[in-house]
Amino acid sequence: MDLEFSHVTAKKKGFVLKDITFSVPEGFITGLVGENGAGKTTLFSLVMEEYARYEGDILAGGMVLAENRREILQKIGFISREQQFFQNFNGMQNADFLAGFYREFNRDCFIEKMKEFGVSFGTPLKGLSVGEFIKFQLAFALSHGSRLFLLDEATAGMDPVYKKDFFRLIHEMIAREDAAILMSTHIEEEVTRHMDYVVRISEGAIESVKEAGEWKP
Amino acid sequence: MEAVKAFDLEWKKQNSYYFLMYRFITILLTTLGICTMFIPIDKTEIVRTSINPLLLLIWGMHCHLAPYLTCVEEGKSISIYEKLKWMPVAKRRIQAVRREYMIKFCVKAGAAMFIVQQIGGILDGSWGIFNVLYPLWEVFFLFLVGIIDIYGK
Amino acid sequence: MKITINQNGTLAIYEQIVNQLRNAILTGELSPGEGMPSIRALASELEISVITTKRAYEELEKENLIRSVAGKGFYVCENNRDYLREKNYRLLENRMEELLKDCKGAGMSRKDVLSMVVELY
Repeated sequence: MDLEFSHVTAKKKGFVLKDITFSVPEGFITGLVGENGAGKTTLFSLVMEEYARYEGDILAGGMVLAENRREILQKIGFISREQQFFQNFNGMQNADFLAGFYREFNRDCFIEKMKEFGVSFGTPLKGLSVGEFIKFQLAFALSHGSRLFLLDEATAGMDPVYKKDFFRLIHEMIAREDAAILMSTHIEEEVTRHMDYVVRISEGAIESVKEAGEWKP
Repeated sequence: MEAVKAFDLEWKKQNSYYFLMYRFITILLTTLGICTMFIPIDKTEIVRTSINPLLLLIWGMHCHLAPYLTCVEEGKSISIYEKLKWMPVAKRRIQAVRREYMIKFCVKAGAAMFIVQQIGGILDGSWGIFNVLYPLWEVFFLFLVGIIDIYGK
Repeated sequence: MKITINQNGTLAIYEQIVNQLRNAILTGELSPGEGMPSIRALASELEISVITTKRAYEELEKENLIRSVAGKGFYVCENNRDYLREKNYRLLENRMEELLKDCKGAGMSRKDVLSMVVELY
């Protein structure tokens, strides 16, 4: 499911996003690059929040987000350190709580993914490392038929082994041509190797939108 | 089963101790509140006599709803709506289900209060229209507070 | 065959892929007519962007080393051995020129170079 921002302007907690326009096409990894505070997380919140206020349009899979939020959110996996989930409960319990909200939730798939990623089922989420928490979120997102993945600084501060593992997963996900990924990062290395498209954002405005290879490594 | 109710069911199951604790307090307070409704309303001191049962019942209802409205993490109380804000469900829907629970409570408590008050009034010999109105406005306030509790988070 | 990506090298990633695949084809490691992995499969395996992989394939296609068959994927061109040999020779010629330049720079005479070649071959 693709995502499209069209002239999105928003004021959130004193922060401003100006005239954001770009697409996140299916089958490709789009990087959202910018220094901390540039507006990356704010952009994600505009997609995820129920009462997000902004001018312009946000469309997913061709549908207007504001009018079809519940339908669209069925297919979005939002992965971030700031994610809500019930921290005092473990992965399996969280899945049991939230499965009912997703039409396509597949419990077996969740169990399989958790095992594959090596995340412990029985540890409460607050007891997991950040990396494991991210992997749990990926497992959860993959289990409810997500077709658009929003990853907010999912690799910041992670060790190289974790990153290698993480990107292997990302590329596997993208091998299916109907998935779209928007991932924010401020690490250049990740950009040149993994991103098909790069959107550079600075102080709330888009600096450039480029295709892989349109810049020097 | 509908999504929010399915969540509530699982939530109650996993938080059984929390729910039990609150349930105990609810029953205690509500029973006390209803018992005080035996005292027929004193038309000269309407406000004073109606406060006690009202406060007890409001507290009781709050405890009835509380485990559905908040969860505790790191010693802090967090709204359930906050926890579910990125789920494919409308906040209005979650609130509507809690309102359903609240109304059920109001109806049951209201009926009990009504019966008890009429008995009290009849036994006392002072039964009049106020004995009918009294439980009704108690329920009204109860409902109002419930709405604030649910929609205020 | 295994392709390795050096992220910190001076060559762009797509160039590294082109070089390694070209080498494999010229040396026969990838046989004429052999099927290539799809762009997405290779991108996924190497953990690089699809667009970069696509660029590499397009480059190889331009050099007539591989060709795309609609609906089926990419295949190593069944070029006559001569074409490949000539291409390979040309590359080797370039390398030889580079090497000879270095030898001259080091002060070796023609005779020195030739005797070295005889000794090493």
